[in-house]
Amino acid sequence: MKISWSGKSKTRGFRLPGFGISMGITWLYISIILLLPSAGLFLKASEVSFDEFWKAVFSLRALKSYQISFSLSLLSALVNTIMGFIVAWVLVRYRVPFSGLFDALIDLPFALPTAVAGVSLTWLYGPNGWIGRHLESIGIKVVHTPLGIIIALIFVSFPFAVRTVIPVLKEMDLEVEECARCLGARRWQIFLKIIFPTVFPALLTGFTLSFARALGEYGSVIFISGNQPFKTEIAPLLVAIKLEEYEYTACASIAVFLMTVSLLILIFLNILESFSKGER
Amino acid sequence: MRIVAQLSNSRKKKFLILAFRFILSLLACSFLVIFIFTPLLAVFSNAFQKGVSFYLEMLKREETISALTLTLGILIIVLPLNVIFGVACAWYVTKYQFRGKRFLVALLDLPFTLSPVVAGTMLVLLYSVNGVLGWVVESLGMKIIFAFPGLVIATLFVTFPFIARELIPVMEEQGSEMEEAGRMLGASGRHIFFRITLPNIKWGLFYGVVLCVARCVGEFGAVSVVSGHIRGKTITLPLEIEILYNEYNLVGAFCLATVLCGTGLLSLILRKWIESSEKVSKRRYFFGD
Amino acid sequence: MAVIELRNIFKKFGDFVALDDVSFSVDKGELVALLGPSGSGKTTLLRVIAGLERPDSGAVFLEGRDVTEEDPRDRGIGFVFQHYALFKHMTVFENVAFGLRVKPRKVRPSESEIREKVMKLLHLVQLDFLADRYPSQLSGGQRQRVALARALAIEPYILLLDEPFGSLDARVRKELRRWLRRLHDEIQVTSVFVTHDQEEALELADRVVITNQGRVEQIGSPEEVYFNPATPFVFQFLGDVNLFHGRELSSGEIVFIQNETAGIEKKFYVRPNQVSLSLVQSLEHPLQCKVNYINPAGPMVKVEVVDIRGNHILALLTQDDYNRLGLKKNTTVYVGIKEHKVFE
Repeated sequence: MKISWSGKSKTRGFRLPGFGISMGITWLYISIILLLPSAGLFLKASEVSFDEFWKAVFSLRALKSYQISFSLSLLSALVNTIMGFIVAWVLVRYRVPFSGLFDALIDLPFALPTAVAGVSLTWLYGPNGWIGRHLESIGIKVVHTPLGIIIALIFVSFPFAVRTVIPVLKEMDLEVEECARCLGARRWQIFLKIIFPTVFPALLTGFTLSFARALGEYGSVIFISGNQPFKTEIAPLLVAIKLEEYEYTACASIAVFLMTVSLLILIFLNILESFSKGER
Repeated sequence: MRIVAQLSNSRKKKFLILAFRFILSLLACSFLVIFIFTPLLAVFSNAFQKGVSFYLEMLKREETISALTLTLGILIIVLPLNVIFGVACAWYVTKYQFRGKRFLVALLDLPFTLSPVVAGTMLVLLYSVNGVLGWVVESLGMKIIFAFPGLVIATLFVTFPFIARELIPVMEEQGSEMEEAGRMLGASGRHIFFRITLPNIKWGLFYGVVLCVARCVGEFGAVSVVSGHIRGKTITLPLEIEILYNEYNLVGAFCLATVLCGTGLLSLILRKWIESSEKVSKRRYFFGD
Repeated sequence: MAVIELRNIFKKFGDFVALDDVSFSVDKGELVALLGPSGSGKTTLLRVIAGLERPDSGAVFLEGRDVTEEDPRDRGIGFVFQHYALFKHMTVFENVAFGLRVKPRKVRPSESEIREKVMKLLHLVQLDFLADRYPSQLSGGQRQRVALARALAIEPYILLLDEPFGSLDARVRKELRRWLRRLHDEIQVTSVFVTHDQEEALELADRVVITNQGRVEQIGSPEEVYFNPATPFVFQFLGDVNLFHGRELSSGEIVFIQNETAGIEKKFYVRPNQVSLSLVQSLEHPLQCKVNYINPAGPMVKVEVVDIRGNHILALLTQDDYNRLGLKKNTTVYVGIKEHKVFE
């Protein structure tokens, strides 16, 4: 059978108009903006011999930067998932004064450009800043240390953890909890056996999104981290540095590696989504 | 007595529950204030540290004006393109059944999970002189990387899904019945779109535009890689902030930051306003910068 | 001794009075229906008994014990929710086992005992073959029965059901109704169910409590409330009603003539099956009407007639009577009343 590209399949009687044009615009745009550069990246990387690729992707400096990026992103995503759940819980279940304001605060990191967040956090936790001043006096250094990176990552990726959990908590059927109460369950049992399993997929999605965002973050981190190789150099920064030093092969190799990671995360997110949809 | 004991027991329990709620609320609110709110507060309090005249002077500098013009120039090109793509893509995804729909929707998420630096790098590797398409660019006599077109393409890359992602849930919720009814009444495609679909998605579209503007103006990572930092030519507002910071002009950096924060805060306020009057559907989640 | 006793329950939600001085009791082994239109407070009443809602004043006694302040988890009541409230992330088996698994360790049955008991319950509700399914894979009627089995697992001495057949389609509803009656006869647990369907209440319950606007209108057996309604509301709620405005003369005679002034004006409530039609005017059939609409499908023939004042009157005739009269649209008929009810 011939596959018809115009989309006018014979079995379907009626389609709203605009199929051809909307399909055309969509795929054209995606091809030029997204697929072409991606293909270019993989093409560029394929010019590199396997040895070179291996050397670039798994050089000591690169490995260290992955380690820093992954571990700090994991840590900040973990903090965000826990705190995000608590914040979502408080905002949905309890009556808090100014709850509308706090709800708006959650999205603040979306509204603050990353460069601004970076500069602001660096000052805030620096020796003259409101918070850094007090931390320094008790001997805690934040700026130019991994701790600073974590704080920046927490800031930029926090909304993801909360925004995925809030709708699930809001939609939760109170009857189900009442039912568990009638069956004799204690508060902690209702939480562990009813609420937590229901929210878990959303928590996992929030964690993954938060992690993905933290892994790719650049703007806010470069200000606060100090960018010392082997200590506070994150993977995206390494890509930028290699590019600036015109080491295109190394740069392409590391970029391909990071691209693969984000594709894997994307696939994982889609599996998660179809899984939680299927359960309903 | 047994009953008295029971009563005081239940009162104690009630107190414990209240205390638990209070501590949890306090924890949540103080986290929000310390980790999320103080950076914003710091921007505004530092910007006016050297007085209003310094603030205005910073905004009137030649570099600031040129950065602002550049940023607005990028916005003027990127925004209409994204609106056209957003509407077309949402229409395509929600009104028809086709193979590869899930793949397409997943692709819309790629700019969110990919580091903007990698995005910028991809463009450099593609369009620079040594890049895959470098010869095409050169033979056309254009310059893309380290020039205005590069900034536009980089911004497009990181912002293209915003409007589509905003519209898809709204249009999915509404279904196609109204459009089909319009078709039965003899409306043309143009009529259906402008008279039936658009009035119903206008708030979603509007908010998508707001998000897109905020991100366009604030984009740093991707733009920083393709810009080449040529003074007066490829320095956008966020890049200018970085330069000021590196020149130890912290207050100046904060002054420019207030402009960007303004756009961001405006988008937040608009979102609250739109949502409170329930003009857009509640989203699953949304990405931004 | 009454198993459930409610004394002067009041409950307000904001300005809305949900329960207004409600008192009644339920005896051991009874199946009682709470019947009323939506918003009449019947579900709130059920939730007060369960402890999910605390009354503003009044007291709830279960087996003679004042439980007004007690947490629902300590009451040992089985509650079947209107939308079943099944735990989506658990299998049918785990749903039913939930009440046993959350018991304190000291009184919790062993795993094998739980298994045995759950399977017995699933067998009772005829769902043992679905034990490993998830709720989303079940039909409405099956979910309903899972919810019931889950409520029974904690061996409640009271079973409360909120609109148990509310979200099922008509056919399943009737089947399940008869099945529930048999089940109740088998396990003999004191049960209260909420419904807005008078047919359901009258068919299923031992006693019916009819509520309206937060108040109890009447309590009684199905026969009592149907044949001896205490208020016009009960009469109207339990079936179709024709309302005649007439006058009762001192002689006891009833007249429906418009310009009559003697006697006392009264409202006469008449069920459609107590309306008789005749082709000739007589003392028994005084009111002249015209046939407006006939629906002969079904066990009884529905005939709607209109009197000269434009009032619509519904009559239910047997197929025999209908054939004998040979009615057509616009035939002139004379209406008589076999039995009526007057509320003072």
